[in-house]
Amino acid sequence: MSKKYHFPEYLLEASAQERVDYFESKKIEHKILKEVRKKALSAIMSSVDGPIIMVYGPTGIGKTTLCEHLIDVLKVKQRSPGDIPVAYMEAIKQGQKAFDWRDFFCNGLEALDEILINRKLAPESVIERREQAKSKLLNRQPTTIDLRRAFDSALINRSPYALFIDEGHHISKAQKSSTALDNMETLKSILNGKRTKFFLSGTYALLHMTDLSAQLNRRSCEIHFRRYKYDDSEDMEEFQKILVTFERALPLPIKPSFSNNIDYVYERTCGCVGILKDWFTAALELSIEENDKTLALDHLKEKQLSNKKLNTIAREIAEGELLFQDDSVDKLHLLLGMTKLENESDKPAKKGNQKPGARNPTRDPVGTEAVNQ
Amino acid sequence: MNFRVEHSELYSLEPIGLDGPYRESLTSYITRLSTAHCLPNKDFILYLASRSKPLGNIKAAQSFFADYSRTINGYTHFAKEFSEIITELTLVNSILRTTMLPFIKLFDSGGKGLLKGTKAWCSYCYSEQAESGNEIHDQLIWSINNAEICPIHRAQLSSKCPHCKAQQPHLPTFTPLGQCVSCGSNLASKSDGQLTQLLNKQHCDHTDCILQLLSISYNEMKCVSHERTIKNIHYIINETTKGNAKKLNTALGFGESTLAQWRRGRSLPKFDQLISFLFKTGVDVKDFFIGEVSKVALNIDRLDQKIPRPKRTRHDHKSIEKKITEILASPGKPLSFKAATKMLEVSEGYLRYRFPKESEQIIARHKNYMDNVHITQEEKTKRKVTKTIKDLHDEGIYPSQVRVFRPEFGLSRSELMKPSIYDTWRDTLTELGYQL
Repeated sequence: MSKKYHFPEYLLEASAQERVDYFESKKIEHKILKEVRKKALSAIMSSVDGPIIMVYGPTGIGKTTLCEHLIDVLKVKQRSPGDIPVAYMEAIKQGQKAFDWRDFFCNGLEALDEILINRKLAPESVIERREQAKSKLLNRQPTTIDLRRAFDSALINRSPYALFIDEGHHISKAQKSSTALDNMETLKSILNGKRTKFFLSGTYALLHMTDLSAQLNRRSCEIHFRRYKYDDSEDMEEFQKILVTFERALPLPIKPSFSNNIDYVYERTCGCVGILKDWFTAALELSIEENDKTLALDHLKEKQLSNKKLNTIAREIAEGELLFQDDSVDKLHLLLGMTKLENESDKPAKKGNQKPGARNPTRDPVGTEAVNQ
Repeated sequence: MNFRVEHSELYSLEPIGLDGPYRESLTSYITRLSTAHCLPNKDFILYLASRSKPLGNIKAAQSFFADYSRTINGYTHFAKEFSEIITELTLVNSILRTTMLPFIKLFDSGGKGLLKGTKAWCSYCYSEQAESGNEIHDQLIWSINNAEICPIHRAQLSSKCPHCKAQQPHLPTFTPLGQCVSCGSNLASKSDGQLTQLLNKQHCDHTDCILQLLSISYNEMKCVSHERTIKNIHYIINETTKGNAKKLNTALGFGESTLAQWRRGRSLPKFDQLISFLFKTGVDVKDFFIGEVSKVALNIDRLDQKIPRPKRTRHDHKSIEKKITEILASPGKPLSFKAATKMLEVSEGYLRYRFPKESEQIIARHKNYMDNVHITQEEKTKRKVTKTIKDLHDEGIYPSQVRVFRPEFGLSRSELMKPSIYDTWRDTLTELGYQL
């Protein structure tokens, strides 16, 4: 006998918040997520791959969900009670200002559950500031150096396999490319001599980071978290499955069906599972609010993203996917000097670019020559 | 989203050398732990205190560092509470062994004569630790009273900075291990780069006995019993002086009834006395505590080596009483109780115990005087406030708090905190017709 509902039945009687929370916490394992998770795990555990792992993809693809999945796997790999096998933080960008490392270290220390962050004092600072009054030492705020030392020490002593940095593309955002490069160099230097890996997840803007330096390029591992593509039949089949799974997970008395509206659903999500889930969550909230027994197309339409927003997302995806395309091998050959430049003589004769009827710039005969002619 | 993983609150650092007698001390472990967390010891100790109910009263950290921090390595209250809270926060179970707590059953519970007042260290050990890239740490044995030489290098333990001659605390408030708290220089070497002089290999002191004690393993300690110790004391007294405890007391420089009390099980030995007793009678420490003493070799040379302990000063009570009378009768500014003890060259405890009435008189006299001084000062300030307000009023300026309480008028804003001064300002303004 098949199950009537694919969710615990008590939810039908539960409060609106509880039902929405249930749906929000539902994790769906889909094809691309599995692929990316496998690659990411192997990169984290590998001793060959570089210390910086970058996962990029369009907004709302499910990068944070990927982090959650990976954290679940890595959580159990604790070696000693003091270890934190995995930690999660966000790289926060404040307005148009340069990336704030002080803020980054504070967030990192918070992610690693560090104590007394506002009292940190690097051992070398004690020596440098020996001349200062003890009261001054006590009442001071930690400097960026103090926080950096504390962050280094936390990474050594907590030895996480990976530190997840969501919105990692913020680190590379700087007004000058030299600053962006400095930021990336700093990020790399933090990991020197440590076995932790930084797992940066972000939009396609992350791709610019590796372009900044060859060394960084070599020491980083890139993973593309792509969307489901409309022109790929396998992808669309999987997307349909995901849609059905979400429909089943909605804690409503009657299961909705949008299989006939797959094109509409795809159009409003750009093939991104994260956007689909957020959209369904908002629509579910509305449906429960209106005491409806199922999720109708109207609910979806009410909560759909505007065309303007979707256009921005689609444009970013298109630009990002273009960036992700590997450079041609000819370009590599040319840079390495493996392709000979063609001889001047082999080149086809240059065609004139004069206007029709204009004379060639030749010297006109003068004197007796002109008379003879 | 739940990204939290269960883990210890503090880093799970392993104490160094736990399996042997050269184990790290708890004060050293705490300093290493606070350095790893990039925190000054002072903040770290206050944090530990905030997490432990019995340690909750360590609010004035300065007095803790000055007076009690050394006891962390012993077996009294602070040793117990600190090792418990650190075990709880680091989830490292062996913290207890960085103190003398495993030996608590063997000695007098007061812990007198157990630990040195200031830190001692071996420059050779520090140099070796630094050269080999190991973390610099202090050994537990260095902090124990009567251990004057390094058991590894047979070098005299240092107790003062080779550069500025400052004594070092067991638990510094800021400075990392291996550096002088006063001048910041390396404690491993002298200013000329030389290390302390090595002693003769044959040189022996109580250090070896303490080393033997520390080499008793944690499991072996479980076999220790009070009955066995008493039995062994009996045996030693019988072997050396044919049961005459008094004679042995005299030979060892102990009080008349010390050994008799131990033998009857009426009191547990003080740490330094027992170590001295075992050292001078040539008894193996391990045999004494966990086995049976079969060999006693009363060493005549060793009998001359008395325990270096501060000499008890005998006071001339009559002359002190005379001086106190003079102090009480002297006109002019009366002395504070502290100043009086300093002048009389006696401790505060002595004065309170021996001359309780006179002590109270000294305190009351000084208090009266100080109260009068405060009242006079307050009156003076009140007059100044009134005058300033009237001057400003005459000039047609509103005498606000900011205008009145200015250094040029000899008044500071902090004086406004005193209710009487505030009332004066307020009343004067009301008198002048201002509405507040």
